[in-house]
Amino acid sequence: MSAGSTWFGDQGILGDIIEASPHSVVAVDTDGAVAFANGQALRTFGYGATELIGSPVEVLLPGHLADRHREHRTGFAIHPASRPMGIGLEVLGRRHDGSTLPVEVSLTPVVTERGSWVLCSIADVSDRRATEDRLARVNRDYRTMAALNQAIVLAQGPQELYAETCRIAVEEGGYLGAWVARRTLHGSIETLATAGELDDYIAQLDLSLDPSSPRGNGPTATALRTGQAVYSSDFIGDTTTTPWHALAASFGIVSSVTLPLAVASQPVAVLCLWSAEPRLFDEHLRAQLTSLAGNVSFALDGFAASARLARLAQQRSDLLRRVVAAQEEERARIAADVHDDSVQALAAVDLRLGLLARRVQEVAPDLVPSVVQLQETVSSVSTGLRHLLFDLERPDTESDFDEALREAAGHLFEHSAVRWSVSVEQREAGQEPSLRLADGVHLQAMRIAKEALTNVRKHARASSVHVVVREVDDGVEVSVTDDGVGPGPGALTSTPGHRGVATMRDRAELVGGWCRLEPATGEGTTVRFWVPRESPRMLSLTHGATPG
Amino acid sequence: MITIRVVIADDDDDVRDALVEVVGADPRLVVVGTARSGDEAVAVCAATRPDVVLLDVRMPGGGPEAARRLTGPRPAPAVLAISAQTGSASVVAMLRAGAVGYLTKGRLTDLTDLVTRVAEGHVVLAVPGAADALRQLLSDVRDQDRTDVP
Repeated sequence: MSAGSTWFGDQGILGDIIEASPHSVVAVDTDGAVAFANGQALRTFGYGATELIGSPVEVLLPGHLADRHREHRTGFAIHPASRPMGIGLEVLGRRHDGSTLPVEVSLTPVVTERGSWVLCSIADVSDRRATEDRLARVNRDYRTMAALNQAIVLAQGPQELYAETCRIAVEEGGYLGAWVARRTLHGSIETLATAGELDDYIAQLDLSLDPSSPRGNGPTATALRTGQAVYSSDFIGDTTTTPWHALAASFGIVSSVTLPLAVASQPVAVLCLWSAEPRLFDEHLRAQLTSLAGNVSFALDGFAASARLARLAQQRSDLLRRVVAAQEEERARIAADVHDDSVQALAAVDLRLGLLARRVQEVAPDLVPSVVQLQETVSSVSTGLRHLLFDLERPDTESDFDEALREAAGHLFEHSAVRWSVSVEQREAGQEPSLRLADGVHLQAMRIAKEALTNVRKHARASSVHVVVREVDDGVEVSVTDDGVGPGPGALTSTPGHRGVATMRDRAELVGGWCRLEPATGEGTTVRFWVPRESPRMLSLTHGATPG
Repeated sequence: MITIRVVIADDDDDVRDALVEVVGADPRLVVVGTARSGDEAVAVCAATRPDVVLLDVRMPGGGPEAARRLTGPRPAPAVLAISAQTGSASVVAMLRAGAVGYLTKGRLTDLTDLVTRVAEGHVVLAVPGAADALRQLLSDVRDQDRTDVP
């Protein structure tokens, strides 16, 4: 069905084609009056069969576009050419009832023996626009999610994560404002982060967490209480948000979502997003937002776990440090006692025995062997005490590590049949390894090595022991290998008189290294340990405080 | 025969008395003074001009500091360190400070012979850490030479 079917004479097949077009087609004469409209045009714009004929074409445009159109039309009549209308503009059409619709229009001049017309082909693009809008929204949501997930991966602690989440929701997600808040121990609400233009709104919220109060049943209180997201597609029309309607309206808030954030499955905070658009929280968007809250909660759990871990590691390290410091102090005290009492007394005895020997030589030569025997006993006890002193005293940390090892081995195996060696393996041929260690590390590494060597001397019944030092990573690895009887069943723990590997392991871990006991190939034992050149700073592991 | 003048510095009364007796019993030696600390040793030596000082390493103001102060002014006495600390680090430190001998406490059977040797200009290192100490000193000297070459 069409109107003005005789506008340029015999239409013939052309008229049928125009009538069959899925688009609206309108012919306009040189005066701007509609001369013809096809059935689709009548249906789209809501006109009866003859209503349009003779009307100015501007009736198909909303008022604000009509005036401008009249001028354009005059220009087009002077220079007619086929072209689309309103390039780069959103063109709107007006239905008979005054409602508008987005359209695309192309114009074709037609000249026949009866006169000139402009043929307007009009496509209704409402559906396409709706799809485009939806796609843009989905795109924006995905972009937001991608940015948020990146923030979760990069954030160093909860506070940074909250701030980034808010910023991204506003900048990428197009929300009017974002707010992260937590429930305090006193039952009030505390702001952790905000972004956007709603800080004044947030300041005036005056929320309660008491369910018997009208201000205690809003989205935040409900989300914290139930652990469920609260959506408000029409904030002003929502009865649960009544106490805030006036305030929200003055800030242009139209819709909102409140997401619970959980640590160890307990909702401890909320993320509120306010929008100036009537957001339809459809299934797609709800899934996105739920996943966002889940990811943030997951990151919070991670922060809490690593903070706990760091705290534990710190506690252990503090304890070890105190134990070791106490040990060093105690050792120094015993060393001083041994020196000042026993060693000095024996030194005096040794000297006086020397005098006595000379006198005995003169007056009773037959007693000389007894005195010499005594002198030897005193000398051997002195040697034992000197070993004890050497073991007790703080190792000298001035020299290179391998030098210190040689000195220790020389001392420990003085007057012993055990053959020993200390060798340094080069990392690359001709390259002198650097064996200077930080003082604290050197001290612990020497203690470990001396304990391993002392165990060899006392328990291994070995004939030889080899110490090999080499640079590994940014530290030094030491192996102490003997050919003795191998580690006993108690070697992994400390038993009286035998310092097990546990003490050595504690010492190594104290400075950020490791120590283990390996049965040597064949017979005997290898104690292997590694220490870093510098002791690590344990505090760098600690994250900020966690919420809740 | 010229007797060798000896000062004995040790903070332990028992040890000091025993040293005095042993040294005094040898006709080649004469004890010209005793001291209980590094400071006292410096003062006694300035007053008595001994040939040899028996210097305890582990006593108040003793050790390398006392050795340096004793060997500073000329003519300097020969400083003979005596200690139960026999690690090479302690030996190196005393030799650097000017000591020409280092003896082990508790094994001083031939003490007076060693004192006369030191007085004659010998170096006496009767201590387990001596060999390591010498190696360390020599390698320090080599390092010094290397860095001195332009």
